[in-house]
Amino acid sequence: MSKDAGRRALKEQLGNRLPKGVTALADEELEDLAEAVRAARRRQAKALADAGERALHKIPRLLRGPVRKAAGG
Amino acid sequence: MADDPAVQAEILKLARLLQREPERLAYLARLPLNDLKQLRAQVTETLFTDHEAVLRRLAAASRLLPVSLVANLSENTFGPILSARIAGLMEPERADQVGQRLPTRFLADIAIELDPRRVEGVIARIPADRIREITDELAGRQEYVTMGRFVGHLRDEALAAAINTLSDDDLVETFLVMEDPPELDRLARLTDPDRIERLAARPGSPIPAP
Repeated sequence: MSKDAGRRALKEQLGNRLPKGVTALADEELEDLAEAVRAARRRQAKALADAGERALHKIPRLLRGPVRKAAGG
Repeated sequence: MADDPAVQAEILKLARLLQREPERLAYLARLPLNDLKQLRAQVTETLFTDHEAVLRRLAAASRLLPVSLVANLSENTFGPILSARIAGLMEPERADQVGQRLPTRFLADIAIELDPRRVEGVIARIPADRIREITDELAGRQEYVTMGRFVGHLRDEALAAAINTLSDDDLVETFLVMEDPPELDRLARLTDPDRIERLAARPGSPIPAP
């Protein structure tokens, strides 16, 4: 892994304006932090997709169409 | 882990957001407190704005459903994390109506995941009695970090109810990890003077003598 890979990885997740102290962390610590953020975002995206699908099955049939339309699905 | 309770609290809050054991973020204890706060703000912003368009559409679609069904879906399908994200995107009045249908235990679960700044309008509508119940539930779980995040966002009446339901131990622990600079004059105004004296006399208390 190249020297600044951790910093780049974290900037990919949180944008370019990282706090100064954060950029001074060791590269493997920055990579670990970036992976933690990446994993949290992935989990959230999956939870949202799964819940949206399950929710639709709990809604009365009559309302599914309008709800799906309002939800943009 | 850091000795400074404020740094410990920040790492705990960040670990919550990332769903990680705080020990696995122990290396962050070397950071200045302000950098930690800024880092957590950036992670909060990222997670709360990811999929915001989808969450906003879900909030809009929920208007087509009866409040009781929305409450059921919140508790049994979306869970506390997604419910916390969606709550800030609903009309406060509607979010409050849904909240009234939810059990205290689940509202406490949501409170742990909420960013209070995004639900000011909802918090303001929650009656003091309900705040007392949620506070009691959070205190039972020793959720001082969560309670500390809400102190600055509660109306006087609600904050007084929360203060009165907490034990001295719980109150001091909460004030040690408060989100904003301690609003000690507000605390003093809302608390029995004898109790303030007793709290201030405790070793390591963040509350100054009156």
